[in-house]
Amino acid sequence: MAIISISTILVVILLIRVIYKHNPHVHKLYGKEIVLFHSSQRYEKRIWRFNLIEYIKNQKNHPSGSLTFKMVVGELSEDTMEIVKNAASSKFDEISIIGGPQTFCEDKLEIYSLLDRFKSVKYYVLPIRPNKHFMIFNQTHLYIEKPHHHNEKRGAVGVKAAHPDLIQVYEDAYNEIYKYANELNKEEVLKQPCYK
Amino acid sequence: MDIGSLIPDFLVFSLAGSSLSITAYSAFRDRNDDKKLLLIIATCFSLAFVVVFVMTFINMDNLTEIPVLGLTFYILIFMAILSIIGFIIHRLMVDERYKQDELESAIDIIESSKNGLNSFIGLLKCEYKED
Repeated sequence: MAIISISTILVVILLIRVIYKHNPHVHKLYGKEIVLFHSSQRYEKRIWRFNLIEYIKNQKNHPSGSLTFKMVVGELSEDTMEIVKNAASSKFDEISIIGGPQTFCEDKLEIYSLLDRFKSVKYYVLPIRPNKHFMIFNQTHLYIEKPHHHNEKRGAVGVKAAHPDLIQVYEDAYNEIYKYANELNKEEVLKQPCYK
Repeated sequence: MDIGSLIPDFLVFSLAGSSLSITAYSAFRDRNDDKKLLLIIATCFSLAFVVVFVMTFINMDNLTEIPVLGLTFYILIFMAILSIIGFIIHRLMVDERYKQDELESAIDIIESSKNGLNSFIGLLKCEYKED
């Protein structure tokens, strides 16, 4: 009887240890928490980014002192704007958005009021639409979108506490792209060309 | 205390526990680790059921008096429960493999995005020169 009981308990412990691993999405070359979002998981993608902003806000010691949020997007769409608004209200000191030359006509007024309301938000445009979209949250976390057309749903990857080398690659790319970007003020946004 | 008197209660509890945890597992919509934990709880209950079931067999006074039909049922139930445990383990392993695949495709996305960054910057440079 004792043998049966002990072997059963052993089987259960083995099961928990071998099969059940909490959060196995860790890769030492990429980051501590890697999340894959399918193109249909629009809601999950938003929630993940909102939670990340909340998490950064609640962190006591920020490595750089001020909170920064940089992104390269195809266009400042409704979804991205929600995230930017959330970050701006969460006291991020510097939010810079680099987008393509065109935008959705229906979003123009929203972008205008966003730039009007939050002084920490800077909006830049490139002469061509970027095909690689990413967000760098406070030089620590990454959100990378799968390449897509502007009218397509997209898959994405979120990396919490990304590896410094990976962050550096994106920081360098951001700085390089930034050289070719022109800042738009709220009035200029209204004159931006639209997607047909 | 006679363990034999506890056997029927244990049988009922372990069976109820495993069915409840499997029901809770099916009720979960998200694919996450909490859901997997329910499957492990179900396995624990099913293993408890197997142990109690074996105990009923051992505790029988006269094994030669069990009719052939009774013995067949014993074996069938035993095999069925073992298959359920096997199925749960299989399910957990499939989940694990799925997670591994997800991680790999996430890494693929990161790599392809990383590799394409320079080509985009090159394109920007060209555009700039043309202007």
